[in-house]
Amino acid sequence: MPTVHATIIARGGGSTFHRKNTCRVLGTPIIAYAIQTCQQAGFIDHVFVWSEDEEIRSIARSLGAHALERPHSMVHYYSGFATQEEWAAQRGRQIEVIAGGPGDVNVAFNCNNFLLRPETLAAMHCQAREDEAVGGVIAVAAVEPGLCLKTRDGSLFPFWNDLSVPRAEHPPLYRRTGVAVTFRERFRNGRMALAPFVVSREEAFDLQHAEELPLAEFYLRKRLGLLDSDRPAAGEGC
Amino acid sequence: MRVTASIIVLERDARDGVRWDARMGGMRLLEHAVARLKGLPLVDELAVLTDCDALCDALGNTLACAGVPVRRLCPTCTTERFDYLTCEESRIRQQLLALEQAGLAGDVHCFGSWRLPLLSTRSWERMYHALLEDRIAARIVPLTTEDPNLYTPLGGDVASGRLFGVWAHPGRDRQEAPQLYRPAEACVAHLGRIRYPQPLTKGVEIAMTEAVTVRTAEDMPLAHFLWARQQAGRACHDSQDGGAGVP
Repeated sequence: MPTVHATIIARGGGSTFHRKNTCRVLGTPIIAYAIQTCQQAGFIDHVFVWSEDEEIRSIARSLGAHALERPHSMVHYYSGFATQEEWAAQRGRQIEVIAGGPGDVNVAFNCNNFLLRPETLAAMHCQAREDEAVGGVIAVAAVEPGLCLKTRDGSLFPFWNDLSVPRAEHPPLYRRTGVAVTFRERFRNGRMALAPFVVSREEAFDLQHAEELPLAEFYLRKRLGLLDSDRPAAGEGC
Repeated sequence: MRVTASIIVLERDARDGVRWDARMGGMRLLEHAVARLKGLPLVDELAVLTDCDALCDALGNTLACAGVPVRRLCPTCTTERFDYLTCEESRIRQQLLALEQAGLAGDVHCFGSWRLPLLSTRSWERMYHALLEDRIAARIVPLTTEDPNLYTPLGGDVASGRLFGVWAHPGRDRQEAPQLYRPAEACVAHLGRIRYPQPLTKGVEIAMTEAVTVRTAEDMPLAHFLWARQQAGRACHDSQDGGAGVP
């Protein structure tokens, strides 16, 4: 049976806002949701959490995941002290000590996408297994048209945005999430394309800013049947 | 200087599944949007502009009693959606005609939408100040940031299994991509500068929670949840300083 490893790379300081990965939504840290989704998907043998932060590693251990110590020189994307390949090699050495070798199937799980359901992850694995022409699958979600970008003088220029065309008739646009299931052997054989696996906008939720925490709380409350339409919801946060 | 404001309600907006009279927290969505703009002290006159018969006949009187008149939009002003990024003279002329016919001509105009019931008075105020502090901007719209990791399926169908990077590139980190934004359906316009050729539109970033746009029935629970949180936050603030909160 092929072995399946899930890897969650989590920065202690938070890449977009402070302590993002240990921020609590409905009382549970975001990193915990990511770990539990991988564990509950039912096809993953080992869940590894790679972090330089002891609090994150402690949460991982408490949930039965393997906590890998991440060197401080391998935390910042553009620090210049180590390349992404060196990062992967470092993780690979640590994983080999615990699991005896790399996984045949790898699940890369970005904490930001902690609302992805375990059954969706399992379905991604099924699709990836069946489609041998690709290296794996990546979760994507449809994006509404109606965007713009800023020009040099700060004025707005429409992008994928033409009100004379009905929204439903705009060419489709998708956002890739940070969750992918890949097959190591296929990558080694040059099949590196990732097929898209469409998920709902809710499951593709990508936590980037602290102000989005109420949205995350709403989606979780809805999923758990905790929405109370009559009374104001209590605040949550870090 | 005369500052006017309007909430635009078009019959065609109901095609998405939610109408202006859908209730949230005991008030209609339209009434939420009206309350936010009414709370802006710099607005000299506010009206609801609509082509909906139901609004003109029924709620119109209610809103008029609250000091907000409902005025009918002429058919020529409703042939196109109100687009606040457009530079097409015909569309801009249409918007200005709507204001003139409604008696809302002035120097600055706030275009509001019932589909943005959570856009706060404070954000309206920020947009107004941003417009007047910029020497050349003709319009200010509220913006939220959008994840730039965007692709379109080759062949137009995601089932093809192949994606083409629209605002992304293989091997490049998404944080390298220039930021994209999503403008919300609201605008503060300088009615003098908007008549120039190629009027500039700029943006003011607002909180994601304020930019929730109610289009379909699925958006209502989220809007209600966030509205309830705003109310809870305001109740906390009011009890702390004993003052009246600003919507």
